[in-house]
Amino acid sequence: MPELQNDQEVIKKLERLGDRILNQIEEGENPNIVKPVRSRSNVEFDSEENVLKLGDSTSKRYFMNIGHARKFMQTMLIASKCKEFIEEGRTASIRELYYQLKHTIPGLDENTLEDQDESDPVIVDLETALDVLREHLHLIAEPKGRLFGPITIEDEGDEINCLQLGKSGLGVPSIVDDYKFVDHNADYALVVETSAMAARLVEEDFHKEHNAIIISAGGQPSRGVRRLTRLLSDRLDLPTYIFTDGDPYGYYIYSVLKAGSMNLAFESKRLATPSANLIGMTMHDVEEYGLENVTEKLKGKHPDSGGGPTKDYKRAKDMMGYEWFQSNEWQRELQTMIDKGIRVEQQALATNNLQFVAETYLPEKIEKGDFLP
Amino acid sequence: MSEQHRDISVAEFFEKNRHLLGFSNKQKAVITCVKEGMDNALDACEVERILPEVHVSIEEMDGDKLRFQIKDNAVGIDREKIPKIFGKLLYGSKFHKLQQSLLPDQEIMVRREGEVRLMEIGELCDDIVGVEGGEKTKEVDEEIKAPCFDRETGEISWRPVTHAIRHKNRNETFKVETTRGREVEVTGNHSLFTLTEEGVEEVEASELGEGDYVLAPERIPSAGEISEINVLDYFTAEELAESNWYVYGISDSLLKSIEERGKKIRKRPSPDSRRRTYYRLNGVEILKDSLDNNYLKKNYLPADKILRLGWGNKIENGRLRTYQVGGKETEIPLNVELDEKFMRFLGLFVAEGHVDKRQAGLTFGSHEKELVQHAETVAGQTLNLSTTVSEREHNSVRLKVFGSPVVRLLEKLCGRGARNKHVPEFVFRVNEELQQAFIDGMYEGDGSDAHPSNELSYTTTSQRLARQLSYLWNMRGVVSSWKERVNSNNISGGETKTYSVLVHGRDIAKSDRFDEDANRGMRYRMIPSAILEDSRIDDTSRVRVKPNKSGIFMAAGLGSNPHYARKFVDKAEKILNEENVGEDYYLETFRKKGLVSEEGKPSDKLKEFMETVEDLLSFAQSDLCLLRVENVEETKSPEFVYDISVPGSGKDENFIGGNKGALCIKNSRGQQGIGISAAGLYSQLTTGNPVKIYSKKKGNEDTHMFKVRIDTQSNEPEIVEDRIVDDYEFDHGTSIEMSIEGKYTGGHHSVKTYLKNTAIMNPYAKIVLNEPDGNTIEFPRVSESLPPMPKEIKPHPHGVELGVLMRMVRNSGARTISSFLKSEFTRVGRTSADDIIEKAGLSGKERPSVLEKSQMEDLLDAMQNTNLQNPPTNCLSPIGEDLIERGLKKELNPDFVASVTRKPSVYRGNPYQVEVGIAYGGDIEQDGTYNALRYANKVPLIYKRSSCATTKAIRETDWSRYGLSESGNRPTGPVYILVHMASVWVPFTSEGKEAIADYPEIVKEMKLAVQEVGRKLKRYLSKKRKKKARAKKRKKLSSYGKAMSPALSKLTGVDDDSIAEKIMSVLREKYGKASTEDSRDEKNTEEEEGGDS
Repeated sequence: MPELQNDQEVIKKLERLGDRILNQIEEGENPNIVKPVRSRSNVEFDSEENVLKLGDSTSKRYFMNIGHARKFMQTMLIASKCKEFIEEGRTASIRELYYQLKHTIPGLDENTLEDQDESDPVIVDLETALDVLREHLHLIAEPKGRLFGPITIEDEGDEINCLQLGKSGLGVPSIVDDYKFVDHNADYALVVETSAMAARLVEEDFHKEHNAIIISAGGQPSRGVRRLTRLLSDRLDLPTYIFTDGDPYGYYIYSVLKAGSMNLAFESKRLATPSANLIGMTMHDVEEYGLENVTEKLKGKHPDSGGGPTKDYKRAKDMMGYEWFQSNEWQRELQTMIDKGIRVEQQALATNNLQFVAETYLPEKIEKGDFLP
Repeated sequence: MSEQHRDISVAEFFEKNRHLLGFSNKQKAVITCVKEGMDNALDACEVERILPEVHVSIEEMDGDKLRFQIKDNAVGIDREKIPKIFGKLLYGSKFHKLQQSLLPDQEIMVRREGEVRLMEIGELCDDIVGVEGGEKTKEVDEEIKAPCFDRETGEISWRPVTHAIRHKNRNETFKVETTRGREVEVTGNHSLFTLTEEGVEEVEASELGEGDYVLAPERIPSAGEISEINVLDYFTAEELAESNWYVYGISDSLLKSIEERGKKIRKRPSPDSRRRTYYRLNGVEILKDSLDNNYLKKNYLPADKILRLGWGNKIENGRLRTYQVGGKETEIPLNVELDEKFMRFLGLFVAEGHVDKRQAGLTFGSHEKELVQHAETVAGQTLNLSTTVSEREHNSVRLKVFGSPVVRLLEKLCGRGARNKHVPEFVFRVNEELQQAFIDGMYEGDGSDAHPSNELSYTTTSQRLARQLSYLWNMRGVVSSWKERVNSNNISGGETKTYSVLVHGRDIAKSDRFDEDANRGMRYRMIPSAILEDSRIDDTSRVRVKPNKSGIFMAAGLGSNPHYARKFVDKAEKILNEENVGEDYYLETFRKKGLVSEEGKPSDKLKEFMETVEDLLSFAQSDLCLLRVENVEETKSPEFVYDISVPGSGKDENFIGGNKGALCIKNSRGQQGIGISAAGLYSQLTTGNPVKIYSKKKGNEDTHMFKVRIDTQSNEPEIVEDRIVDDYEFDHGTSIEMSIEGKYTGGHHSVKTYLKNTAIMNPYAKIVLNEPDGNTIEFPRVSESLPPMPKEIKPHPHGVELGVLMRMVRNSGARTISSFLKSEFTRVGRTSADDIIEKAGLSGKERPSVLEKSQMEDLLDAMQNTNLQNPPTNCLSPIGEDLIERGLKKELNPDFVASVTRKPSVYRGNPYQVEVGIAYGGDIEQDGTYNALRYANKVPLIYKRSSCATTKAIRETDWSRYGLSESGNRPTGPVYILVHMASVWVPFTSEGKEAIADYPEIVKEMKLAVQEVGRKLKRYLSKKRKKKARAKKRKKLSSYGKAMSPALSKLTGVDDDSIAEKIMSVLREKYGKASTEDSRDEKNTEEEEGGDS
């Protein structure tokens, strides 16, 4: 159980929140919680640090506003539950928290929380309102993502040699700040979008033969994966390559890893890795490696079809507007994707043979430095 | 006119006018009888200031017969008063008001002296009644027939015209214009016809507006099937004598009959000649020498003699011969056979021909070779004429036809000069093929066949020709269009008017000679959706539909396209046959719309609807069609107007006329008050039983039972039995019992609904209904106070009609007109009396009783055109806001009621007052659009909802402003809207008193009242809505507050109960105390949107 340095400070913050609200109630005011605005309008790109940051706008969440009341109540419930966890020295997963708090509200035909999708954003609200991380509130996400490669990590006093973890790898927990990197022999870190591709690379001993730390994200990377990527870059000064599908969703994963996400913009400074590059898949790869026959069509409506783009097209179009995608290479990449209306998956590289990705594709690209910024 | 009609027996009158009197079908008859009985009972109580208690019992008997009894608690009735109740059916005071007429120059189609003519009605009637003598009605004693439709079968046939009528005009006159360019000019009360769900109904011209539909003939039957014409029929004897024409081929026996039957006389042909011998036969003198030497030898006679002898049809294979200058002879057959070739030739001639003294010519374009050839062949072979063809300038070819009889004949048949061209009369009396051949010839000769617009048009400067052509098309089952144009003439500087008759689409294909797209030109054969207003199931975007089942379903809102509509039809038919149908969207829709029960059984509504569908289908197959009214405008009124009487095969009197194509025109007569006597007569005529009346006077021991029968010859009620009975339970009052042919049903138009509506408007009455199935419904009394009795007032001069005036004059004891006016009318003082007298051209000293009818009319005119103070309004009997609300509450149990009684107002000299009530929510079911409660003088109106002023007022109100949504201009939701018009003279749309005429001033007054209750409803609804929203919000917040109190307690260390209490107190401060909302609100909260505070 990690002993986080500032438990007492967090408890104080929670108590201050409660006191303020109680005070408002006693004064006959409409009780409210002040929190930074987390919408797109209050997210800006910091071009010095190359990450997304939250702006200064704040909003108030009122109890006696029928549109806010339910969330207000939920915030109170979560705040109080977190105080309980900290006091008891326990850490709960966000799903456990959800089940801890879910119950029927007397007199109404509704529950305090209908599903986890309701509690998760309230946790983020609380993090931003109090300016603390969820880990400080003794909340963790389910472990997601795995690590393979020539590095030894000390975790809670145990040393783990990640070259000796077979095809299983090291599960990446939600809190990695306390990891100590004891030793390593790595040339770079490679974050892979799909678990299947990571498994392919491990089977081909890619991590061993190329001294690569492979992190499999398993789709949208968890906070743990993002923080770990950042730590590897910061502490070991390793180049970071991101390997995703060549589609808008894959590029968005890259965007989140590199610059941070809108939702968690307040934590970008901890989670984003601005030095990361995209190794593939790219539209250029399609030509270069003759993958024309294994592309898939983009979903949704083309921007010229009238009524505006939808689905994949919309996401690609939106990304062309992101400040961190303004480089010529990225503009060209996204425009090509829209023009051709195609996407290409990592596993399309298996069209010739399974080892192609490990033996040819990745080494060639790294050697040539054929990345997108 | 009335004189004529006194001669027909009352039974006959009733039979003819059943539909007008409210007995058009078995269901309606029951309601009408109950209505008349209820009216009597409630009136009797009100007059005696007794709180009414009326029992209505209905029993079913064998063979669609019912026995019903209406029993009141008034003071009973004396034997002597019985005839008064059963007063004469016919002589309503308003009788003459219904004189309905056409303007003199309106042409109608008649067959007179065997010939079909389009004649101005004025000319025809003047001819029959005589030009002199002002107002006149005369029985027609020659054979005149007019096309007349039968309402039941929709067939048009030629029926005798019985009367011609000319009378002074006392009404506004209107020009009604329809699509296809047709129009007719009539007096305001003259009925045209329209189609409603209840069938063909009459509609007065003054009530028509754009978008209404009127009936027109689609197919007028030909007036005969003649196959040849006799040339002599078209000439007078003088003309023939002058022309030196001879008829050859007369048989010996016929000629010898002159000798045998003729009387020998001797006379001098001229004063200085010697005497000679003549045979005189049928007034015709024939010189013996000529007969012996010439006629008998060569079998001929001068043509004029044949005509005078009346032998025109006795000569078979006769030939008409003429000798021209230079000895050349021409001969044509005496009887010309009418075949398609000849008819086409005539058509061509009407279009292209011209005649001068010696020759007739047809001018064709040089490309029209085929036509030239045709004309040449007919002229040569059929008519045995010599012809020449010559090329003329402008690329035209002229075919000349010589021979004076033919030239003269063509002139007679077709007219001379472009503007006088007309259709030969006999064309209206030949079969369809021959008529079509004639039409073909006309259009081939001079028509224009515009392919892109799918239109065939014939343009002429002869108005008569165009009119005839339009009627001729009608005989082919085609409703043609009419267009007029004024062309300025460059050469003469004058103007010429041209008239075009056009047909479209499939109508063109009637002819083999013009091929067109048969799918077009259907419009007037389609059914306008508007007809279905009352039985519409749902909204529709279709304006008109094809005349088949799926079309009608679409018009009723079932199915948005033919495919779906067919599925609805299919389902509906299966359900009606009680076949099993699967659960699906269609069945669900039927269920939602109340067409089938939960168990999937057909409801009364479905049965009624399907009957309507069948009726519309049979209409579509009838000889009639509907034309949309485009414009109605008031016109300058002439002094005299005209009418003819054409008793139809059924109960209809109608004929066909119009100057720009044919429309169906009604001449009807009837009266306003019908009363219980009509019910009695109906009973007598349908079951043969007399009416039974039980009466017990207040404070009298005996109950009398009278049996009353109406002598249908003398039109007098007769008491056939009068005895004291002791087995009839009675406190006091009158009970009327009769058996009738009728059908007791539920639904919208039912006795139950009628009584419920009566109960709402008469909340001080207790009404009990015993239904045939033994079920008893009681409509309770909720008020112990009767509304005040209206005061009787003298009539106001602006509201009086001639019949009333005449009766008043007869009954008045006043010695001068001046004192008559002052004493018998309200609002007439000395000054205004003098005014009226001066305007009427009288001295004022005349004795009222010596006034002639024409002076009376002048007086009436003057009365109506003199400015007078409005009549007093204490003669009205509104029931008041309180009673309206009580009535609505007790029968509907709503959440909210509001009502408005407007101040009295005046229209056309008649005081009236409008009351409106509204009831919302509670037990009122939410089934689509609003429910209407319509009343005239407290009597419910349940038929003809769509043509009622009340409906117009409601539909013209923007209900979205008052918190109700609308569907097709009608407010929707659980709401009843009550509109009551109280007036000394309610203007009904028809004699059946079923709907209030939508005079603009009345509609406006109703709208103001409707809007006033609308505002009240809006306040209620928005209050209710806000209250509901607040309550819901408060409830939510307090639950959330309680749910988060323990959490806040944990964060702050303060006791959670006290936190909860604090939160509640904050909420109390903001939202007030928790209210105890009723359970209905709780249920509905989910529909409300939670607005932000």
